[in-house]
Amino acid sequence: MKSPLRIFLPLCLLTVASLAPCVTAAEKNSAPTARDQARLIAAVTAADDERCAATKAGDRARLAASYSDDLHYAHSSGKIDNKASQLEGVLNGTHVYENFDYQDRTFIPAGPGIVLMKGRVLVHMKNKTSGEKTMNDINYLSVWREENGKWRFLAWQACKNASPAAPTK
Amino acid sequence: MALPRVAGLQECFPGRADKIIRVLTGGTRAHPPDLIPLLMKFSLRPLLPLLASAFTFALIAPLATAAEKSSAPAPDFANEGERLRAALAAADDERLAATKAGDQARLEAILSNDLHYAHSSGKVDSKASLIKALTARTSVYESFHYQERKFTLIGAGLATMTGRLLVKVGPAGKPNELDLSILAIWREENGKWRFLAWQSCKMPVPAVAPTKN
Repeated sequence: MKSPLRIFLPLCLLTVASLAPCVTAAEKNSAPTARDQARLIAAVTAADDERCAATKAGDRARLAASYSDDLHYAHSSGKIDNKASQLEGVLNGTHVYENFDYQDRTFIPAGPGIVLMKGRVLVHMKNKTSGEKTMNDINYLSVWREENGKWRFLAWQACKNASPAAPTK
Repeated sequence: MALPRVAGLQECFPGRADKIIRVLTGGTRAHPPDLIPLLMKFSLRPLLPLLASAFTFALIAPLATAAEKSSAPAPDFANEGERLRAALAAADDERLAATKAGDQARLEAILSNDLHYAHSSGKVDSKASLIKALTARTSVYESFHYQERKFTLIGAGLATMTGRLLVKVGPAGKPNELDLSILAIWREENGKWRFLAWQSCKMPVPAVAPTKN
């Protein structure tokens, strides 16, 4: 007689195989590893690089893709924009953004799907009509949110630093 | 041992084969080993697929539920929004009261250990340096008046606070009045809302005539 174990053991293995994905999927939601963290920060860094590039290029489609529909954008001037008015300001405002020179850009994963970005940036702008160049030295706090698998720019508050930034390096 | 026919079982579950066989056969310790193949053949064989699945599931189920428990359930914002906003407003009122009082214990409780606090002056504080300045009374906050304070739930256990705030702050007895645009982030930590990040910015001109108090 063939041992019943020949049936029993394969069935055990089959059950393990069918349940294993449930267990690993549930575990994925807990405790992110250092590698997950590095991947997360790389993804948000790329999203911010794209935002800066789209701003410099004045590219409406790319900016619209980068901004969350719920964008709250508070300028260092006190002006507060939503997504529509911020797009309008970047595309048809008095200045073009020529460069974003980050002195500090730190990403802080704050919870599921939310990463804070904070630091200091020198924003170089040029007046569209006079060609006059200006630079704002600002501290900023901002929020990135993962929306349908894509990191989008949700909130921004900038504040001018009183004195010009000391030359770096 | 005494069970040559189930050698495979003993290899897979060393030391537990006897117990497994007893469970499978529904038998007691008293069953002589010779009876096992017989019982398998006549009574249990049709049930083997079911038994195998149930047995394995019983082993795995505790792992699965433990793993699921550790992942936070997504809150139902539609129903919970009002309750959460009220809790956030209460937490922020407590933060302002503790700041005015320069009360170390209350500040320790309401400020996240990961606090990033960027003043409109450009100064950036951590939790430790902010509490030090407030308790040493090097900066005294005399009053806070929100012109606008809006809480927005942005994810599980996370909310932004945006708006505009009139603050009287300075060395004791010599306060400056500041009109600030603000962005702050609150995070729920162990069931309690804590203040995680802040960036304020002075508005170019006073928004309103100086208030009476």
